[in-house]
Amino acid sequence: MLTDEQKREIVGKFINPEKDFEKAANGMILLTAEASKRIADEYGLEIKEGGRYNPKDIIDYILRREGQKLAAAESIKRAEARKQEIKKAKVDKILACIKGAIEAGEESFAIAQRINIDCGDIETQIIFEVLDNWKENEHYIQADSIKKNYYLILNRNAAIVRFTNSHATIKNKEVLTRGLIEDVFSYYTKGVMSLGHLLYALNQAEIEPEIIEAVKAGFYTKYEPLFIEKYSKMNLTQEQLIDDVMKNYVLGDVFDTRLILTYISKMEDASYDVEDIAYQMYKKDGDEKAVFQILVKQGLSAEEYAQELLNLDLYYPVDCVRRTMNLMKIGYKGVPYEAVFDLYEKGQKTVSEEESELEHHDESVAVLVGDELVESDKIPVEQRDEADAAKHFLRLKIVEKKREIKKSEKKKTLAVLLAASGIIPVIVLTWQFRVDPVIAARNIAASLSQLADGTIGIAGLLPKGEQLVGLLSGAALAFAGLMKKRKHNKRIKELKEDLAELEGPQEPQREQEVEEDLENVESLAPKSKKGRR
Amino acid sequence: MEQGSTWTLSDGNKYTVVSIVKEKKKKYVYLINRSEIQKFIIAEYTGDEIIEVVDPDLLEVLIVKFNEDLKENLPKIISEYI
Repeated sequence: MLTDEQKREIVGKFINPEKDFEKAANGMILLTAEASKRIADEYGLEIKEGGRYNPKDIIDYILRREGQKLAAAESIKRAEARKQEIKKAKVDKILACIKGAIEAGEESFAIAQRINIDCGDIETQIIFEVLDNWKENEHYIQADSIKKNYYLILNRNAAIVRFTNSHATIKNKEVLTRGLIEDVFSYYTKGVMSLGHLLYALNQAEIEPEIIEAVKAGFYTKYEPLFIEKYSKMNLTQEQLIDDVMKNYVLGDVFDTRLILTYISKMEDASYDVEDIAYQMYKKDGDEKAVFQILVKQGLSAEEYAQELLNLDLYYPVDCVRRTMNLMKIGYKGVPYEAVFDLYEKGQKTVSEEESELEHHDESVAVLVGDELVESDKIPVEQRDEADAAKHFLRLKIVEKKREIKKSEKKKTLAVLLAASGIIPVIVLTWQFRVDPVIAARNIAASLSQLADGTIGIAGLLPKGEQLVGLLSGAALAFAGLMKKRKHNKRIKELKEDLAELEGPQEPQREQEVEEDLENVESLAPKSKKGRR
Repeated sequence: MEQGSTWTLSDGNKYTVVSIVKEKKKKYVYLINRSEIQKFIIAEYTGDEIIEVVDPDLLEVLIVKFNEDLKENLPKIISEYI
């Protein structure tokens, strides 16, 4: 809505009262032909040659049009402000997500993953904008790495589709493998994705495992000369070499230390201490694989391995040494793991009592034993295994996330979801009866799994999800009925006990009250229906 | 959407994501073991790992939230899997 002042200003812009009015032959006051033409041109109106506007009509028209323009401009301004407000909220959310992850000590890939999960509803463009601006503050060192990893995560799904589409029709394994090696190499060297992600993509595209292995080997063969050539020419000191390798993230999830060390040892003028490089890489990356490499030396006896592990305890966390042993167990054949482990354990026992106690104190955490939280160092030795298992159960890494595509797997997912829909309502009901929630949840889940099992066969016969939900709601109600009956039975028992406890005629009123309560409860109890489960 | 997806955890087992809810700015997940469906985990979900919830009070709050989430989304998810 225009104010009078705005109206005067607008009209004043187009009409000069001293020049633009004239009296027509019939005595009416009209705009001059020149002023009329000028206004018609301004608003794109059609007017006959020499035509003149009635001032009231044209002023009404001008004010209406200008009012509309003003309203539109204000509306755009408001929309823009709202847009900025929404964007600010999104930016704040991303910043909080990144800051939280950095404070939690997460590395760039984990941060990128967290952005991908927590900020999945935010436009990629805004996320990249935030990461670009991130350079402005003290965390700038991580920004590029986060951005690269986020980009990799975004590209992963697209790559799966591209790989599947471009190679699905090739039946000749040799041609397919060669093509894939070229593609993987090109993606990697262009920095589009890490080798780990590319292999993951191939795996997701259900490319046969032996082909993936061949692609990996082919990639290493192609990459080795590039690596050697690059670093041979650079003439770096040992420290500079390690820094550069780490900075370029050659040491990735698949591109492990062993390979890097192999390449370094092949460099013509290599005067590098490969064992020391492995140590240095571990220090920078915290990668137990690097430690493992130090131990994988041909010709070491089990005793020597065990001694090396014990020596490592002096420098590295026990966890790291244990993980290293785990690697020996699962990843590399030919290493006498069991013998090494036994000797290592024996060696550990020679550590003084004082050190041993200190170590246990340091490692003490609260763990779940049965249904109780207990300090791990207060658990009797014979229960330590159980406590250890509980400790591991409390905290688990997510190794992989995927959506099932295969029909049989989808059917299994359906069965699990159906089980869940039956379990939860009953847990809620149970808690209304003040049963210990942890125990109740576990027990009821166990018994209801049979219900869910029973529904698997029915699932394929029913055309619509809603009907299944209806069926399960029915099942949940049946359980609810059972639980309700149990509650009434419990109450009846309590009242009967109260009644039995009452002595003599001194409390006739109380006795009568209890009897009345009992009658009421019995009349309210759900009646069992024959033939209904 | 993560609901209905399969997660492989570091214990070597595969779990179906039944529901993910938020409570006091934290995310919680309800997982059921795909091989043994009587085994389930209710845990805090930090993005790349899960930490099992053992506080009964919190569990009570979460279970109700999971239930509400399931009531709202389950028909849609199940339709997707039939």
